[in-house]
Amino acid sequence: MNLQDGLRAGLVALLMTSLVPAFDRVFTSGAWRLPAATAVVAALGIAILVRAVGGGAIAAAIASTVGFLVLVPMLIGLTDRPTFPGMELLSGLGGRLSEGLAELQVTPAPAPLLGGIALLVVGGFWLITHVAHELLVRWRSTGPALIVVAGLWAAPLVVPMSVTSVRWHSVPFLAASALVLLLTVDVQLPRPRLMTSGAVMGTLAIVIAATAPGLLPGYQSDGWYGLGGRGGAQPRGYQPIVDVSQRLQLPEERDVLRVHASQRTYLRLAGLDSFDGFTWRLGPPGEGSYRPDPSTLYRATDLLPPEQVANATDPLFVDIEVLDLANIYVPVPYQPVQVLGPHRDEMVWSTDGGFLATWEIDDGRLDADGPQVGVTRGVSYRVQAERPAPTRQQLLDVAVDEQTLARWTELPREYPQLVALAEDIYADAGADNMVDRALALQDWFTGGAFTYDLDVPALRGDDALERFVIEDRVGYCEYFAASMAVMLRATGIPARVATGFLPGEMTAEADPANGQELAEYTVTTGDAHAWVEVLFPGFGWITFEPTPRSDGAQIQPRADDLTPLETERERQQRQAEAQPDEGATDPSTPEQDAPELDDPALQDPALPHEQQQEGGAPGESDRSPPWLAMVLAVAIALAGIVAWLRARQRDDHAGFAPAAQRILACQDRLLTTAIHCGLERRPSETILELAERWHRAGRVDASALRFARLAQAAAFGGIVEDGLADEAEELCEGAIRDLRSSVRARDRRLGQLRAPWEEAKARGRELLGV
Amino acid sequence: MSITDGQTRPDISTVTPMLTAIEDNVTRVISGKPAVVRLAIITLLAEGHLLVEDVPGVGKTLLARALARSIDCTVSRVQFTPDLLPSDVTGITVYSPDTGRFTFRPGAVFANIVLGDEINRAGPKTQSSLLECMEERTVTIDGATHELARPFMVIATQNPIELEGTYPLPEAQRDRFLMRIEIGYPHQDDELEILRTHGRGNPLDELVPACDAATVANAIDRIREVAVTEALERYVIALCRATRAHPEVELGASPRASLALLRAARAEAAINGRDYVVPDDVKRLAPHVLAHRLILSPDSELAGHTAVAVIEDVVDGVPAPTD
Repeated sequence: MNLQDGLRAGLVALLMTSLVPAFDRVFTSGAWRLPAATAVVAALGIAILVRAVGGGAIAAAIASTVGFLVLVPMLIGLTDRPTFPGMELLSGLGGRLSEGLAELQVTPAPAPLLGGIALLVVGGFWLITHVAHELLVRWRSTGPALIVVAGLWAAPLVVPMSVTSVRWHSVPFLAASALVLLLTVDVQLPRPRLMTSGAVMGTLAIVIAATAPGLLPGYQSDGWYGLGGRGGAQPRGYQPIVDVSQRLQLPEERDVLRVHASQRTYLRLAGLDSFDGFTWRLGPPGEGSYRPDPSTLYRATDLLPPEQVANATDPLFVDIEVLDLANIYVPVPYQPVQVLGPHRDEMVWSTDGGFLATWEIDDGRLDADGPQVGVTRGVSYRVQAERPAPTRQQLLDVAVDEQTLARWTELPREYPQLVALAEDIYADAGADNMVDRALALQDWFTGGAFTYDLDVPALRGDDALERFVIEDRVGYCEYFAASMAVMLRATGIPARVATGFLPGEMTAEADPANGQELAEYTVTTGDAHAWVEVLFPGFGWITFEPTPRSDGAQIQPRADDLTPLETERERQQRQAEAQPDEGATDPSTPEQDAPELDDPALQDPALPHEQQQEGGAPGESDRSPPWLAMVLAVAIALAGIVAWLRARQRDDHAGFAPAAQRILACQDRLLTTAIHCGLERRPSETILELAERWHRAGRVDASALRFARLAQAAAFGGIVEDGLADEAEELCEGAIRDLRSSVRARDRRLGQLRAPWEEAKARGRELLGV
Repeated sequence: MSITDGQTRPDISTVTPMLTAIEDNVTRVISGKPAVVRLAIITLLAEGHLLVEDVPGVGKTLLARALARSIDCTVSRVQFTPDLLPSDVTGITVYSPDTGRFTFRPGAVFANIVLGDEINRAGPKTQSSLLECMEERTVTIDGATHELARPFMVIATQNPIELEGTYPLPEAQRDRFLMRIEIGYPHQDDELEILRTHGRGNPLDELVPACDAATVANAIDRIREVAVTEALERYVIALCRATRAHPEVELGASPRASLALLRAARAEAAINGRDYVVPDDVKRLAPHVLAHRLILSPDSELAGHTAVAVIEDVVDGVPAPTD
């Protein structure tokens, strides 16, 4: 490895280091740094090693890929020790990748280092390091190398955040880039005029800058502009966003939790208290960034105060072992009373939203550093909970005071169609109190009019809820829960959406004889769920279940039992067994019949599917703003200018004989070198006079004079042959060498800075016709 | 525009030896002034006329005669005096009683090299008769047109001091001379050399012609074909235009000046053995070809600035082409 290679490899490392502040900005802690740094060192080491043993670019790419597959799974905690990459590992990485894309989409910054995001960060650093090394060291292309790194640099900076300015996070990289340019730009450039490559790259950069935020996952709705016509998005703070759809749509179901529970229970992550017209979210409405009020936070080391006083409760406890889940919010049965286990030191309980989360806890300051990923693989804890379990009778007389009502029935706008529909449903069911109305609404949703389907467009647009409830009637839990909660609120019933997991599949029954007192449940990604909670003051938040899941894994409250323990599937089986005739004629579940029962709206092809497709390309939206056209127009105009400039540049020496063109190209190089050395030609000087001046000053020998004469012959109509061109090229190289060695290195560097300035001055003079 | 291969190129290979021969010859008589000799030869090859302006006794006449002697051609000499008539210069038709016919008796201009001494001493009418011949290269007398010899070159001398009773050439007329040169006093060593050579007798007598008129005429034809690129033409024009825009100049170089500069540059290229003109040729000749055509503003003249300095200023300010 020669000195130049070493310097350039060092510069790659410097560039990557300069990205730290930009990435720090979007993470809640510095935990990402070690894996990323390891990735940079490893990728750089492999690239240098391959180059040192004379390997080509393809060999380097292969070596780097192998290294990536061996090392990265360890870095992101997928394996404990280096393993030979096999299918299992690949599918694991694939799973992490899709998880990461989902996390990017649903986790507002600053985010903790979730498993998928870790893979994206480590992989990104590895890839960019490798490519930057190949470009800067192997191919000596400073500009493209910088552009590649700039891509990574920009990734965290475009994440919209209200709290921090981008400026200071971006400066280190800019400084490092300037240094790299200074130290590595090749002096023997063609004449410093407007570089075609520069113009092309500039155009590309603008196009990418304009389109990438819309195309990258995670920026779709939070870019600098609204793609779906939502306008500039406000950062939503740290939210346990309902990433249910993402989990449900993973290509392969993964086991997430193993639960030993005294009874079957939903495992809740958080209650989403406010609706912004688009999604249900934590915290009071209208706040840009959610930070829980420290006064509502309690350490999990003590007994947890109830979120709402619940008078009729049912005690239960669960042991939860996390198999594969990285999260801040801890899945717990509602509402928890006590957490046991070594990890409870890092957990806080919020009585606002009713969630247990892992938090960076400083002594005496609960809200010190914000959330961190506490729930990871291998964590296990025990939760004691008191589940609100009132009877319908108890709830009939519950009255809600004004303040509570105002807090929990707030909506961003009126929903007259939904209110009218809800009133009809209440009237049909004869429901005149909160609990009956909630049940009526739940039963209406699950009663067969709706179809459960994961493959549906996202809830987009102002009237998305109405469309879902009145026209489409196809969706999954998020749709049902959001719609029902809005309808409840619109009709004056305090409600919210809760997210979490279904109880899961029972994998082992309780066997008290063998000391196994708790039944074992396995919760998978497919059990991710959202449901509705209705507040009955004095009895707490009661769960309702509007989603007619096709697998029947949900637990649906009934008027006779508001807190049943059996799933819908079990209930139907029980009913089928109790009434064999009916069961024989109707072997399938009502949910599976649903499509046949439903109205034709289901098959309505008029539904503009693409328009609502999540992650849809900008052009697909009918509200697509004109900026796309503008970007295209600018890009085309720039491309035209570039083409014109290119044509002009080509014309520069056109019309000369080929040999003359070669000599004139030499002359250009010599003049450029002169500018870089601070020895530029005075405008009125001929090339011969210039050579004579250098000669007098002892910078070049007489061969430069000979070259000057040849160049003049080429330029002014002398006959030059290839032999002369060969000689001229040789003479020119000699002159360039002499010239450079005649100038102190420091002046050369300064000359490089001066060159663009001189060029600009010359252009200005040209323009002004001076 | 540029010159590409395949075009017929002028054969200028004979020009350089010819120049060297003439130069050697002349230098034997006028020592220490190679640059002046060279300019004179360029003027000859560019089909121009030379105005030598200097104090008496520095060798103006000697230069002209040496040049004429070096070429095997006819030479005539006119001493301009106030009583000189135009017919003395151009010639006259006289009646011959013997034959009973009018015959044309050619004047002084019917020679290859015409030496007009102290041109500013003759009256304007006589002056202009010469200047007309210079431009037209023909003489028309009594309806008969007479061609002048080829090559044809007028070397006029003028004395810048002793202006009493003289008719200095009007500026418009000076434009007709391709160049104006000054000879200047010789260097000390050269002056010593002059004493020695000229003391032994007239060195002119020892001169042997280096070439004949036909050779020179042939060279002139070839030099007209010396290549000039568009960039260079633009450079010449830019120089001339810059003189017009110069703040110290009242009257700048005319288009005739551009033509003259380019012609001279072609000759310069040829005697340097090139069949193409480079910017250096133009730059080198610009002061000699352009300076005498300028009229400086009164202020600048009062300040003692010279036209040559102005031209140098102009040349410094105009970007030279490199391709």
